[in-house]
Amino acid sequence: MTLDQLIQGCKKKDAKAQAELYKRFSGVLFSICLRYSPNKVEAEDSLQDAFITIFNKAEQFKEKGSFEGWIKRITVNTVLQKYRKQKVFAINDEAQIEDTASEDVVDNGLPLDYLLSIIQELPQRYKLVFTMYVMDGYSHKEIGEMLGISDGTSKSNLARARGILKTKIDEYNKNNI
Amino acid sequence: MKQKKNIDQLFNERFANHQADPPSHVWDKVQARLEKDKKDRVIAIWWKAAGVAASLVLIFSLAGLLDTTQSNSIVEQQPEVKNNSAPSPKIDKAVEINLRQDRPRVATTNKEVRNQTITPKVEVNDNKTSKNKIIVIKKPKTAVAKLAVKKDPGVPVKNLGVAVVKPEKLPLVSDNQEIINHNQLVVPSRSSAIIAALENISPEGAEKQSIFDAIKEQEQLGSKEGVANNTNPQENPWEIAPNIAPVYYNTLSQGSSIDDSFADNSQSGDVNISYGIGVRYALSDRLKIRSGISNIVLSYSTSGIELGDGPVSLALKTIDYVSEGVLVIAQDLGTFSSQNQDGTFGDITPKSTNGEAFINQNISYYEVPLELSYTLFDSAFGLDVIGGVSTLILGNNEVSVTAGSYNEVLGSANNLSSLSFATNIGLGLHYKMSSKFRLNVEPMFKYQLNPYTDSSVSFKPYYLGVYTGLSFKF
Repeated sequence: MTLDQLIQGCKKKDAKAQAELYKRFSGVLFSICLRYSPNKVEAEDSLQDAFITIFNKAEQFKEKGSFEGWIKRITVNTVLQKYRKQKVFAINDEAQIEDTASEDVVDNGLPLDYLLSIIQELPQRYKLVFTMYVMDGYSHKEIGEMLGISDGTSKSNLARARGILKTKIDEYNKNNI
Repeated sequence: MKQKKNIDQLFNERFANHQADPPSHVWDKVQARLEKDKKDRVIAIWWKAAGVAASLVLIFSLAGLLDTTQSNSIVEQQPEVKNNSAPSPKIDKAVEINLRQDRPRVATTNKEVRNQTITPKVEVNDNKTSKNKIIVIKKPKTAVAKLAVKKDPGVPVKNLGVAVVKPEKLPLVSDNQEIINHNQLVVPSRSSAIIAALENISPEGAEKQSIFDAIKEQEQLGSKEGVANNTNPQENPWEIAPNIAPVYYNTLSQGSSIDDSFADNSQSGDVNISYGIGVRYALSDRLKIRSGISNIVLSYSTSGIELGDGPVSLALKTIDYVSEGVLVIAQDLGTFSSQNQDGTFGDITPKSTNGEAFINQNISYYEVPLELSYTLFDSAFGLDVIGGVSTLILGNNEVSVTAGSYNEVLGSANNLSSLSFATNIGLGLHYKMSSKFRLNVEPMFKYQLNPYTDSSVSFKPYYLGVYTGLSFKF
């Protein structure tokens, strides 16, 4: 089945096409969910919600942009919606810190699982900004709009996330010389 | 080999093509939800169909109302028709006064007669028959109008007692005749002679009728012809209908109201009893509004579970337990062993019971329906369509477990709405035992709208009942 056939099938709510779509994209989307969620169980829930939304909204896909980009956006939005509900950004009175342009770390073949685990361990408000900015290429302006925070808060949260991650990686490297 | 890297770059690169296979149960859940959505769509379609049906009932009802008003008005007007106008058109054609000799005088002197109903060219005819001869004679002193009606055509006038004015008396008639109104009261004023003559002429056994008799007869005819369609406007519109019904309770969707972990367990609805009393008010002869109150007991059981004793932290969240401390824990079959394997929940002691374990939910409601019924046909046997809503007030609420001979009440479900609603649709079959009593058998489908306070409960209960009872008018 070509991607086009797959999309058409999903628009018609064809069960085979839906299963195939899941098979093809669940890995990529689950990776997103894992990065945005505090643990695997919540990531699974988000993935489930994201696919339901994708299947329900398939007919709204305009075929102009990339389908993968579209389903990724849906997935990110699904996860964000969940945390918007949980009001993870309620704490806004933190002192903002300057955006540290770069934090260098030693990559001595750091295991991916470890990297994922330290992202997941980040406080939700730092994690979302970090993963959106660094890995999914959103600007601070977009992040601010999507999360309902100011650009400044977004930048500050990014810097804090980097700081925490750097500390953890340094620690890991120290223990695994 | 140490490599310094910008932290953003590190994460960006490492996760660029990262994929992680989600566990298989995620797809199972996605599928289950898609199925559910499909079912919900079916329900939505059902709702639309119900809406269309309701609109049809409404349209029929309105049409029925109009229809009834018409037939009612016919019934009411009929007497008047007889009173005032029925004889009038007929008299033009039918009244034949035997004016053998004085026809010209009648024609000329009796202007009012000419102008209104009686043709000026009154036929002088002795033995002719007519369809409907009506001659009204007013006695000069008593002023009592008499009306003689003959219905059978083709029968000689004299034999049927239609008063025939004798020709020799006519001069008097024509002199004094006046028409009281267009209702063809032909009133000869001062001619007792005519009366005498009429009385003499009228054959013995003649069926002389007063105007009231005529009305009565017409009414009877009318009702025989079914003009009024058995409607008696005087009839009491109220009816009371005690009823009892076996009620089958089940769910339209997968899912459990007790716990999500039981969602894929097999559930079986039980047959229970509903009993109550209903009142009905006839808005028209076809449309009735119905209400009442009944007590309804519903229950269903979930199988595929295992029972154990454990701490409150492991107990079902939707149940307010009656006991404290160590509780009876019901979990999805196989959960205990898997939990014991990784040692996380080692504090459940499985119960050794014989027989399959069930968790039972028993609910009772007080139901107050508000329904409309529309009669499709109504003879000795009749058929109604019924639609409406019910208000359900939660009564008893109990969750229990059974396994073989073991039976224990856990407590009450804490996610049931104390006030909820149901939509009702059904058919009413009835048999008229007498004018007062009817036997009713009404299969009804009732779909509960908001039985659970927690909207995430994907449990869509409905119940089917065959409501049987007598209804009587009082």
